[in-house]
Amino acid sequence: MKLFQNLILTTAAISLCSCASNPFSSYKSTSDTTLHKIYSGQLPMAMEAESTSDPLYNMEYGSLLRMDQNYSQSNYYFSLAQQSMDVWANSWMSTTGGQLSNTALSMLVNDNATEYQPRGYERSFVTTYHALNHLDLNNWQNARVEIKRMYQIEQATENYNQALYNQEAQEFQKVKQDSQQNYLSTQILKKYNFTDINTPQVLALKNSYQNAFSHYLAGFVFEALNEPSLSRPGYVKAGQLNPNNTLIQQSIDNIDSNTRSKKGTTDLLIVEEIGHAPQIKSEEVHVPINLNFSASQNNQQSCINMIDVFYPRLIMDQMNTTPYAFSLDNTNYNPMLMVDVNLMVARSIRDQTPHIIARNVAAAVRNIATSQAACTAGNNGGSLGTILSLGASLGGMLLDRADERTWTLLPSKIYINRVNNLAYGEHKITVNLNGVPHIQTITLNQPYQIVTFRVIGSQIIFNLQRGSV
Amino acid sequence: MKTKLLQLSLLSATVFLGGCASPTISYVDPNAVNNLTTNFNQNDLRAVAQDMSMQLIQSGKMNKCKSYTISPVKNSTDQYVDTSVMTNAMADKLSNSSAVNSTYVVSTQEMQNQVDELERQNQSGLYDQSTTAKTGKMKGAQCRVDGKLTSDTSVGPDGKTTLVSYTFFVQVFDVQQGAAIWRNSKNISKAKTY
Repeated sequence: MKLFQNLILTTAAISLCSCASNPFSSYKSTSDTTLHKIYSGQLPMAMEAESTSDPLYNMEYGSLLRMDQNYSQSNYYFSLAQQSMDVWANSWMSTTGGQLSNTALSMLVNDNATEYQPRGYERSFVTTYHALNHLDLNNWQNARVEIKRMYQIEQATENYNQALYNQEAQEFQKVKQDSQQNYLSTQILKKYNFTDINTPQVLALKNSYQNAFSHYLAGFVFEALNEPSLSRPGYVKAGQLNPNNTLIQQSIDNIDSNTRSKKGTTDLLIVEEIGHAPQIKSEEVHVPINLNFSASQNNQQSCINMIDVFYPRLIMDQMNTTPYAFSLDNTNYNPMLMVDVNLMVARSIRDQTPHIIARNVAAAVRNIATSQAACTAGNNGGSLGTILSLGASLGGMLLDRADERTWTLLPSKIYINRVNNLAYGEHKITVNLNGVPHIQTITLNQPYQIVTFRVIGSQIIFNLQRGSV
Repeated sequence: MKTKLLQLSLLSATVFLGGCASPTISYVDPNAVNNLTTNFNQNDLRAVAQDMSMQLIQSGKMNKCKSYTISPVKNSTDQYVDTSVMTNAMADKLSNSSAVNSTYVVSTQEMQNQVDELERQNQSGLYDQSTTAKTGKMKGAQCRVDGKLTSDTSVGPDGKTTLVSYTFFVQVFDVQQGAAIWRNSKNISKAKTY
């Protein structure tokens, strides 16, 4: 008996050591610590440098380094994140039969314990921020490479999602065919909180993985490189994903009429990012059940009348919720919303709901079986009941809890503006933050340039193109 | 029950050990047909450009022009199609055909490099002027080949089938007169069913 106890404990220890994502820790707590340090201005110390293949760490740390204007190092970490995605992407680029194994396994263990699989929108954003870093280093050709990678990743994500939906439909069908599992799923659904993920805005999104900003940036980069045949679809796709932004149609019209900035002037893209992406907290709900209708078939009374269900709850950024108006050379501009990352995260979770429910049903079935055995053994007066109880609770820790991992250092919203025919030379951007004007001087010296600023907490961070400052 | 716990432990351990396969690299036929997405891919690009070029050659209309250029093919689809591949494929087919007597002259795409080279030879002060190519001597194109790619997407009533129809439209204009001397289009439709 001691052997089994040791085996369980050893397995738990292996889990803790071998996985960058600790199944017992809360990612929400980890990201809280990082955010508090960023809010207090301790940007370089907000995260510790690590050498890991964990894509989530590499995405978060890459974002932090970008905020700290360390673009080359940021790109190094984004590249590491992309390396782990490349294997996945290659298996889905032109097929609908790639890697789904992790999803199947996560039915049986805590999602937090499996290797992190970046969500669809995160895959697109890694390449987009990688491209933005290259633009800030004034390397347009390398930015072009990342832009191409962005839409290739999207193709892979489309194929993956389709296969995943098919698998989830099959999983759910199996649940429906089993009377006990069907009963459990019905009880779980009654208690599942859909408030965040079923809003009209979430449902209005075309999907959870394509965002208008990435495609608008693609259009801008290809336009700057004088490749209208690739620029136009970038703007068109951005318009399909965000039909309310009038700037997009104007950009398409400019491509169609071959309108470019006059000689000696700059076409400036101004990008405003605010806040951080939602955090995810594993929410525990107690669901009352009555299994005696099925237990009676085995002439055995069930001692289980409650199961614990875990689902992901979104914790939105409450500090930065609205855009900050700014002026350029004393002309005021209202930022135009391009992407609401909050909605994309919600949509992504909504799309995962069948898997989340099926995983909770699997966990409930497992816990019921183990607890019932412990209950029966305990009633018979043996020590087996204690051991099984220990196994059940330790197994529960490993196997339960909603996945809290998510790329939190993405902004919550991205806005853009575009100003044409700005004369080469120095210009001033003024952002008013809580009544305090923050002034940044920019130097324009190329036909196309980009300036990005991010407001997070009470910090404002400008990202300017090297060679133009 | 012991078996269950053992399975549970082994399963957890398996999760951490899986997924370490190394990739293999191999050469594939660049002309192999890729039927895996409805996107307009490299095979489609080359196939329609070459097919239209062949039809243009067979029409004999190109020999009405002493010289011609090709404007960059416009992409009016919502897909990232690098239509410079189509423009180049048409230029290759027309200029290498023994049935076309017309001379291919520099296109707008290639113009900047041409200007840069002329300026380098004539304005840098580095060259013996008796050996340089002179400015103002380039041949104007009598005809211009113009192409446009469009697409239309429709989804079946069951929501499971997506049909994308592409049209590649080509015209040849007499530049001075603005008259079209040849027009044709080619359609490709691709369906994807889940």
